[in-house]
Amino acid sequence: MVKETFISNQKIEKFIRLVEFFKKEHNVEIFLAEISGKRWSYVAGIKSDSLLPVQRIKLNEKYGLVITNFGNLQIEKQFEVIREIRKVLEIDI
Amino acid sequence: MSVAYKIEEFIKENEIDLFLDNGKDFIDEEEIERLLIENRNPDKHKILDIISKSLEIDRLEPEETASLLNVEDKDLWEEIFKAAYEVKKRVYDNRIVTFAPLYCSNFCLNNCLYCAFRKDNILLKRRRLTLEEVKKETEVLISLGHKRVIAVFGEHFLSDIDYIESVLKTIYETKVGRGEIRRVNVNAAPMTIEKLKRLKEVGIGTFQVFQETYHHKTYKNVHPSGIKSNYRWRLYALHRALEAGVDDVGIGALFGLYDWKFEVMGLLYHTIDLEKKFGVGPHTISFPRLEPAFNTPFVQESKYKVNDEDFKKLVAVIRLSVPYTGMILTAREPAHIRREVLKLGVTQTDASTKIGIGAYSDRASEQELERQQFMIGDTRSLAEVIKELASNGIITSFCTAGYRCGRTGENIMKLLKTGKEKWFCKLNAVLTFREWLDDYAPEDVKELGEKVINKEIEEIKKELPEVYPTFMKYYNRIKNGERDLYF
Repeated sequence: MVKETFISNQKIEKFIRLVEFFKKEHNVEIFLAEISGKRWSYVAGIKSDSLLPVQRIKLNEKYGLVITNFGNLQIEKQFEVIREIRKVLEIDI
Repeated sequence: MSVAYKIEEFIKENEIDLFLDNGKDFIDEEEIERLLIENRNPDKHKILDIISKSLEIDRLEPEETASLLNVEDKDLWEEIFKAAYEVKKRVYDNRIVTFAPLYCSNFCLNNCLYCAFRKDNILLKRRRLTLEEVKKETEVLISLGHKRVIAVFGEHFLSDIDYIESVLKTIYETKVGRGEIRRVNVNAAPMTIEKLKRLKEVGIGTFQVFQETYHHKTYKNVHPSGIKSNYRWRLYALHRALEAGVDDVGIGALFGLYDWKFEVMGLLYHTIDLEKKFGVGPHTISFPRLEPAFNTPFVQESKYKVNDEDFKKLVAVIRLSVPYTGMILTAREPAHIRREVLKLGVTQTDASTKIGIGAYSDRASEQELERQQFMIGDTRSLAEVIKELASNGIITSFCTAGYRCGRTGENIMKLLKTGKEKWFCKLNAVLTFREWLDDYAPEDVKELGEKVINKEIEEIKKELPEVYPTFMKYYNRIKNGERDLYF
């Protein structure tokens, strides 16, 4: 589930635990992607089987989140999810 | 132009050794020859079992591919051809993805006997596009409706990684109205891992390097000098790409250099080694045939040229052997061949193709052999090709969704093998074809295009009822002028 990245393995492990929690609690599936131009490459997290369109959220120039079922959450909850992930990965806005 | 260079500037032996198995590369010629001999006169039931395996989207073993290659019975070949079409439909649905090649530079340090770009071909007009010219070429392609490009480069200091990087950036940055290129694949010389990382950083789609021939002795004969004379440096080019994180790679062989059955086996062994070492096979397999090239007598003299019937066979066998891979049939082939071979499992084709350096913006209708790598067989426009596909009920796709959603490398493999990816293919084919119909389609194509698109939408409604409402929202947003929505 984990590829070599510039984010430490420790942070990635925390990220994975967090997204597993979000999946269980909110039924959202999230993975971390490395951004290279238009290419978003899977790094770690939950890959969805759903055919529904994903939401892509840039964390910074290099990393983003690819999320399924995000629209099912209230806006405040969405912000909370992103905040928690940023904290765990130590990626500031 | 004579250029002095050191081989060590280009080739890192440790980046070959990294991937060898006990000092050997994965092409065991004795093994391949043995399998081809031992599996002659295959039993009909064995062949039918092999076909069934392919239909389960299960990659074949070398012995199975050797058996297919040795089929002589015409009826069995019809079964193989039918199965090839069915495999493609199961994995990629009823769509053909289209793209355009963009030849950027024909300077080359190598001396491949079959290629008009070889350095000893002093009659060839050499040219490298400036970035401004790359932009102009891209604008023409965008104005036709293309969304996908393969940028092609000779192996030379003038088309080094700095140049290739700049070209990709230029292509991606070029816009014409609502149009843009959303995926740039690259066909270039093998590179070091460090240079490949730079291609990844700039957002490359697929990195393609064709082995040309997997037969060691033939390889040496047709690549007598230059960096390309190193068989293993080329053989492991895509291993290095995967190591660098470029996880969509394209392999290929140039059919006509050596025995076509051997080359099909070579492609399979290449696939198997990539899977073994990285858990992922090639994103695409290409199978160009030798074509006439300017001032290149080798092509006329080759005794291994592949006739049309054998060409159909090799395409179908590749399809069955690696059921999940994309397969690219280019405009090298004349229209009547493309028509037949497209039904044998092909997933991608090009159109409105010009391969002269700067040829798109020169707007010349004739091919200019003195600056092309070879002769093009099918010069039809994108609209003409789309029209013909539509008249056969096939939708043209400009999809670039996968690599923007993390569906690449081993992440897409599972989706392809389980038949899930084909639904993404279907949805995105309709959305991108809608864009093309609205922005670029000539009147005589529109009616046929609407018929095809309506048929696809009906199938989506029936097969994907849970996705249909969201799909129709996206579809209507595109009809109302939004662009680049995808699943």
